Amino acid sequence: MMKRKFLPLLLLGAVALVFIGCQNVQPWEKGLLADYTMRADRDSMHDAMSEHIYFSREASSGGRGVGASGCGCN
Amino acid sequence: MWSPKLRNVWSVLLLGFFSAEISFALEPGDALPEWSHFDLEGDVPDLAGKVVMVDVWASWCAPCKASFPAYAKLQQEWADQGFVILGVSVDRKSKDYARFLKQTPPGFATVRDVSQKLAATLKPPAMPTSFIFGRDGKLRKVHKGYRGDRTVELLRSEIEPLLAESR
Repeated sequence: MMKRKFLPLLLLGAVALVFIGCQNVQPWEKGLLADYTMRADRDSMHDAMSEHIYFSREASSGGRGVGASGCGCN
Repeated sequence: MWSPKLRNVWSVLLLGFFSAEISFALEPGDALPEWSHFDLEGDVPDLAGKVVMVDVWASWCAPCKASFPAYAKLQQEWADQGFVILGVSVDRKSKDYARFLKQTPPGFATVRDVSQKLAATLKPPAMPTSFIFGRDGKLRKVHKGYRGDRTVELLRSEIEPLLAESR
């Protein structure tokens, strides 16, 4: 009986835990999203390395339209 | 189904859960904010008895920048009739604000809302948003966004009758 009573509370707690990480960005706070540090391409060296890894690893399945073995040697 | 005690617990939990989302924006008829309550960088001009347009903007907001020349023209045109535009920047960094003002002087008085308390009070629904206050200091109209000539024409049709009102 006690279990049945507290089940909804436990569910609410679980839902609250999920939503506790949600935060609405207000229109006047959107400068945070426009900040340089929010740009995915802010580090050109990181981009070049990621691109090389993607090209090499995905090459065997036709990554970037070129077929290769996936060894990273091209 | 539940005992009164448990129902109370439920109510408190639900209220707490949703209270973060409950907020009240400034409504038409509400008074002009008391500027001294906010942490503002820059001087607020004398607004008493004037038709005031509070324009909320930011250096990262392209439509805000686009609106400045048209708004400056409106202010110039109606300055002698008691029309004042007060720009309120919501820039978090003073450096960004200062750099923007240097590159793009808006042509009307502006202040920076340092702690964004004023923005949280005005609750602009978009960037930019213009809040138009009558000579009595009461909010009359709220304009969301800037759509070029269409916005300017709309502002003209709303501000002109306010300028004709006596104090």
